[in-house]
Amino acid sequence: MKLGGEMDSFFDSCVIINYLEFFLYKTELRKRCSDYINSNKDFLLCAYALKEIQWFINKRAAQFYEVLKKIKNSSYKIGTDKEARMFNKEEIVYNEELFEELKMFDVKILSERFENEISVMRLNWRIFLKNRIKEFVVKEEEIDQSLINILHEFLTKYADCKILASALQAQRNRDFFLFVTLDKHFKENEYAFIEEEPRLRDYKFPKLKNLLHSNGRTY
Amino acid sequence: MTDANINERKTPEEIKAKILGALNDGPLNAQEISKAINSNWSTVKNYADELIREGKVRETIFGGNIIYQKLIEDTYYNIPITDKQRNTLKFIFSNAIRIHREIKEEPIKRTALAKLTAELNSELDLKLPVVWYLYGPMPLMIMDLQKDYSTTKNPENSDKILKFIRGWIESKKHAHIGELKVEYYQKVNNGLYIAKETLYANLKKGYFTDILKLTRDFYSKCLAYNDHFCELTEDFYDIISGLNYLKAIEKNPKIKNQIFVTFDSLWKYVASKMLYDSLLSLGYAKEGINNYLGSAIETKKCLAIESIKDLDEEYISMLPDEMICIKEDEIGEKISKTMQGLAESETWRRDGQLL
Repeated sequence: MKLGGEMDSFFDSCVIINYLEFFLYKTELRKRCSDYINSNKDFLLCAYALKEIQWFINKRAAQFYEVLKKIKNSSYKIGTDKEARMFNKEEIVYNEELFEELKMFDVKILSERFENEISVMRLNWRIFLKNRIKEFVVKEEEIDQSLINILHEFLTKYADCKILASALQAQRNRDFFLFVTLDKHFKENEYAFIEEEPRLRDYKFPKLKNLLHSNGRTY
Repeated sequence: MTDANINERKTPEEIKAKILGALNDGPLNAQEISKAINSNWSTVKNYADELIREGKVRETIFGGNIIYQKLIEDTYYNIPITDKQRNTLKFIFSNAIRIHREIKEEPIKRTALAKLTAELNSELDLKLPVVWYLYGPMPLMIMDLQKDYSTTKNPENSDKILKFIRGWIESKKHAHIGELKVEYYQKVNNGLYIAKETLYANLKKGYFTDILKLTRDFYSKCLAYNDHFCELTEDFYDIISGLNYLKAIEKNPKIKNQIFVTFDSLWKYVASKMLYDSLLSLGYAKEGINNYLGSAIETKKCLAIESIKDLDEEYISMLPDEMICIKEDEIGEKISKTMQGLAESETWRRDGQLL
């Protein structure tokens, strides 16, 4: 641990996504992420999170595009365009819901708003990467598949396993850092339970900070 | 019959002709040639080396094996075509050049010849090797307008071909090359090439007003096509989106040129992948295509990456220090509500399949 008790923060993708969204729409949860990032420094980001956030932004752009297509052409069925093949069934439902919410607005105004949102989100993402990330850790080819498999026995989401596996690998040769998440899958006991797994005894576990809980408690 | 017996009856020229014949359908290693021409390995090796010295064959290492590839000087990337296809293409080229001069009193342009051949091919179902590349569809045989393509071997439906050529040139009498390209892309409903052509034309003329929309359109068409080159087009779109929002393009004329150069190298890479896919759909074997095009595609990819990195460096240097905030409004509130649900559901995650 560093002098003064300040630890580096290793981010789960959802924290950054909420932080980026804070500049578009203010909610309590997004503010919590923003406050955390603004009051801390020395951030670590793994390759998987980097890709996932990029993927999220691209999907958001494509969602807006779907809504606009539907507004411009009412016979268009959301989710049927070639470009929409990136969406799964549940997402298509969300896209339809988004269309229902926004269909009464003027297409030109909506189009401008969408364009601005995506541009700002992309820009803020680049500003964040440029100014706030201390180190990029664990390249995609370095993620240990056997470690992912073990974690998958405890965590249902494969993406969570990849992020946590990256965190455990990054933690190996460095001072303890905080694994900052906003994830309902990481509850107090669940994390402890993973820590007790004998096959993971050689791993140092970062301290968990789940911003989903209002006190942002560190376990 | 033994190999020795066979070889006794063949002259060196005959063996070399047989080797070249075996290589007509694509590259082979010595073992495969030996099997194909029923001759022993060392004989094949010796004559293949002679053919290399004569400049008729080239030796490359592919998948750890030495393979031999026939050098075909009249096709792009030495990709083999059949003699029948070659003759038909020669017939089309020579007549198109002649008829164009007759009707328009000027030489035909390569792009027009390529479009004419492509349309003729699909209209009369000639099964010619026509592929999609930089400027749309084109025949695999190199179009050299200074070359004499006259042939004595007329294809089966030569009358129909001649009629089509004449009709096509007549109907496009006043068309501009750019219009011809777009017209063809629209006819075959190729959105990616339409998007590329529009963006390219705007960048070339220095019109940057619609750059975000046009880049977005190009990116979305790439996305709809497949995932091959999406990452690079995505990076390009990302940079354009930021530069446009910051109004950095208008302020910095130097970057206009850099954007044009970057898009040009990106397109060269995308088009090389289109060429690859065209060859696949024409029935060429994947291994063979990798051999003809593999290194060329890799080089184009590296150049595109380098070009995008250079542009990105410029972009990064222009980024503000502070995060940018959007004013909240009713639309934002509605988006926020739906998106919060989506984010929490985590359905947007590819569940680990991202990398």
